[in-house]
Amino acid sequence: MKPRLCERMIFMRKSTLMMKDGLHARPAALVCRAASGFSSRVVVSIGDDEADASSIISMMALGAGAGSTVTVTADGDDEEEAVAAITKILDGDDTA
Amino acid sequence: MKYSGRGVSKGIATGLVWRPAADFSDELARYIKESPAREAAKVGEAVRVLAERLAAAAREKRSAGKKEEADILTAHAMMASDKSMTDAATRNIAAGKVAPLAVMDAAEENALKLLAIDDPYIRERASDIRDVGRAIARVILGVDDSIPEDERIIAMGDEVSPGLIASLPAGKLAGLALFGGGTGGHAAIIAKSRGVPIVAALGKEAIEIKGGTLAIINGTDGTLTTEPDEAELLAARETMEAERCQTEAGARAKGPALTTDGRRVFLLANVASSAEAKAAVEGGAEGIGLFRTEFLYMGRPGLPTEEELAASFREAALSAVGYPCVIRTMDAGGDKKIPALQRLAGEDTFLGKRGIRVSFDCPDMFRAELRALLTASADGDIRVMLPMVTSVAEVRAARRMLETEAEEVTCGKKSIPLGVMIETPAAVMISDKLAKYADFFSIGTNDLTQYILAAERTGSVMDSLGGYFHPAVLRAIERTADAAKSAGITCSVCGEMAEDPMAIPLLIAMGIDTLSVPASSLPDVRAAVRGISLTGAKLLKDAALAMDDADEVKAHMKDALAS
Repeated sequence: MKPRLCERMIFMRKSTLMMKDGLHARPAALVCRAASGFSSRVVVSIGDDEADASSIISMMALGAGAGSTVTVTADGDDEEEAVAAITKILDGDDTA
Repeated sequence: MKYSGRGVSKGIATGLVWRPAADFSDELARYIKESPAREAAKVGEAVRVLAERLAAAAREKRSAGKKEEADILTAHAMMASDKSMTDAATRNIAAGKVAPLAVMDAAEENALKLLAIDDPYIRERASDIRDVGRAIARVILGVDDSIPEDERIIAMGDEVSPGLIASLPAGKLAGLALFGGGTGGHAAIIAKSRGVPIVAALGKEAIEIKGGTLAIINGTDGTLTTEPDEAELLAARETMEAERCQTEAGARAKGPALTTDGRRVFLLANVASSAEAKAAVEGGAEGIGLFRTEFLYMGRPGLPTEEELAASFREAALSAVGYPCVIRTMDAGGDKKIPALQRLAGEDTFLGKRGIRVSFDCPDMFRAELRALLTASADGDIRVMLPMVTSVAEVRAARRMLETEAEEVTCGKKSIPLGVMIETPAAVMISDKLAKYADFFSIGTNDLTQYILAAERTGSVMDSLGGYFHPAVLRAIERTADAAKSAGITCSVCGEMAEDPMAIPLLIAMGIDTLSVPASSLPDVRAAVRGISLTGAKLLKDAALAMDDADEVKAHMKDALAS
C-alpha cells in the first residue's frame, strides 16, 4: 500500500472541519485557486481519500457532501497560512 | 420532420442548426503523429491557449455582471490545466496515443471519477470535463466548427459545451437541442439565462440532423421541427409574437409609474383579504392603499377575535413585503351590513351609523381592532385609516385610543401612522383642521361623490350629474389636496376615480401622488400615468375647474386625451 500523502509530510499543519455545503465546482474552484497561490503542498482529505487541493477535478472527485468532515493538511514554508485560508473557504466563507 | 423530446425551458424559436463537432474522425484520420515529447508539448501548448481563452471569456462575463457564467468558465479553465488532466494525457502519450486522443481519453478517465460520486451535481460536471477534453483536442487539431452566419442558431448535440454557448454573441443563440436527457448541464444553465427554449432527450434519430438545417425549436411542447413548411413557420412566428407581447405586457405591469416629465405616482392596490394583497403586490402594486376590513366581519354570526384580526393584518402586512399596508378600520353601515351588529339595525344607513361612528358605538370591538393592528405592525409597515370622519373630535378620540392600546400591546410598534379617509363634504370643508391631526389623507371618491351630489352611487340621478367629473367634486378634491400639501402630509385617492384614465390627469395635476386601485386595473393605470405630462395635466385641470358642469369637463378630457 502506498504511503498516504500527508504521512510523508514531516512538519505540517492540520485542521478538521465539517462542511456546511457540498464541495461542488464553485467552492472547489475557489480552493484550487487559493491553494495554487501557496508554495506549500495542500491536501484535503476525507478519511482515507485524499485530494491535491490545487486540482479542481481531484477536489470534486472527493465527493465531499454537505455534513462530511474534511481535513486540511499543508506542508511547506507557508503551511500555516495555507491551512487557514483553505479552511476558511471550505467553511463557506466566500470572502477568503 | 418533427422530433419529440422533453421541454426543459419554455418558448419557441426558429434558427439554423449548429452542430459543434462531436467527434473528430476526419481530422484524426489526417493527423500526423510526432515524437512523444512533441505530442506532450502540443497538449501543454493547447491547454495554455484554451485556458487563456476561457479566462478571457470569464473576465468579459464578469465585467458584464454575469457572475454565474463567469464562474463556470473559470472552473473550465482550471479543469483544462488541471494536473489530473495533463498527467493522464502524458501517460496516454507514453502509451502510444496521439495528443488529441490522449487528452480526450484523459478527460474521459477523469469524468468517470466524478461519475462514481454519489452526488448528482458533481456527476453532471463529468460532461464539463469531457467538453474541456474535446476543446483541448479541437485546439490541437485546429478544428473550427463554423457557426452559420447572419441567422440565429439552434445549438445541437449529445452534450453541448457551455463554453461554446457562452462564447456566442447576444441574440445569436435561438435555442438548445440535446439528444441526451441531462437537464442540469452548464450549457442548459447558460441557455436558460439567455431565455432561449431548450429541448432535451430528442433521441438517437435526431443525430442525423445536419448542421445548417432550418428548424423550429419548441421548448413548451418539447419538439424540434426540421425543414418546416410555410404553415408551420407562420404558426411559429405567431406564437413568438404572442410571447413577445406577453413579455412586454409583463414589463408594463411593473416598474415605477412616471409621467413623461418625470412626476412619480405611486400605484397601490385596494384589497379585501391578505390573499388579494399578496397577488396585488406580485402583480406590481407598490403597497396596499386600502385593506377593507369589513369583509372579515361579514358572513359570520359573531365578531372576529383580536387574534384572528391580528393574523389577517399580519398576513396582509407580510404580503406587502416592506411596502405600506393601509388598513381601514371597520366600515360597517350603508350597504355593508354586519350580522354581529344587529343592534344597529335601522340606524346603520348611509346617513346614519357608518364607519367610525359604529366603531365609537362599539368601543370594545374598536379597541380589539386597534390592538390587532398594533400587534401586526411588528411584521410590516401597517398604517391605520379611519372611515366616515366628519369632525376633528373623532380623529383625536381615535388617536387617544390608539395610544392607550399601544401601551398595553406587548409586541408591535409603539406608534403607527393614523390617517383619515376624506369621503364626506364635512371632512373636505375642515380638511385644513383634520390635516393637523392626521398623518395622511386618502380620498374615497365613491362616497364623497354621492354625499356631495346628494345622489345615490348608482342610478339615473348620479348619471345626469356626471359623477366625479362634477366641478363640485373636483373642487372638493383640490381643496383636500391643497390642505394636505400645506400640512405636509400625503394625499392619495382610493375610489373608482383613481382608475379612470380620463380622471387620472386631473388628480395628478392636483398634487395627488398616490393612487390606490383594484389590482386588475394596475397595468391600465400605470399606462395612463406614463402617457401624460404633469405640465399638460395642469393645463387640463385649470381648464376643467373653470367649467360649468360635468358634461363639459368630460368632453374636454375626452378631446384632450384623444389627440
